[in-house]
Amino acid sequence: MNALMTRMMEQKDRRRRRLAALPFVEKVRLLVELQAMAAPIERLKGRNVRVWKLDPL
Amino acid sequence: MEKVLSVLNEMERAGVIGRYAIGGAVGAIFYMEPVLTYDLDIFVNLAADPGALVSLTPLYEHLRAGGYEPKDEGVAIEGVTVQFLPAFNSLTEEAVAQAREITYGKTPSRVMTPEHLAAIMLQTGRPKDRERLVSFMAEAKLDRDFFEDVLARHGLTEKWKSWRGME
Repeated sequence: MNALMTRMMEQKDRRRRRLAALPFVEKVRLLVELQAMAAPIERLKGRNVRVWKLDPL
Repeated sequence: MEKVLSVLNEMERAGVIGRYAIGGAVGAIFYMEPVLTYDLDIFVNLAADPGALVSLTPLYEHLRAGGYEPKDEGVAIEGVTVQFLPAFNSLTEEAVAQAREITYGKTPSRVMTPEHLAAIMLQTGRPKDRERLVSFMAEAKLDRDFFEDVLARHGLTEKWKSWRGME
């Protein structure tokens, strides 16, 4: 593996660990963002998905 | 999400469901980076006489009376799709019994331990469980001794060795 690949893998790993360490409430907020981004693709695939509506804390 | 947990807590207090715990992908997200899911998986102990069939009907009737209509495989509660899963074997029963207490906002709830979540992914064994388990083991902090104990008690040690050999 060359140096660039190694650095990219390390950055990806750091990002994962940073996200994993977030408070649960914040992770759920990010999950809903993910849902909204992925929903059009899921619907094109025929899946009837519903993006959650979060109540403000 | 907080309102959903309040509804679940109320159902537990009212005896509509027994003890419950968050499992599935949202349970995993408690310990790892967010992964895509559209369902909040709630594992529940449903009261039933020994030998009687466990039924979700009273639970759905209660929700319907509260204005929450079941749709497809879940129920939309306060904007969140909730899938109720009866604790269906010794592993899921133990996972619900030993789930850790958490607070979401100001509302108490429970999430399965990371060791039980990982064991359930292994036991369920779909391709997406295998994929999620690899990330989960890298990111979540597991008590390895307790995890191996859970695997041994539920007959999953050999499957775990087999999966690890495929990594």
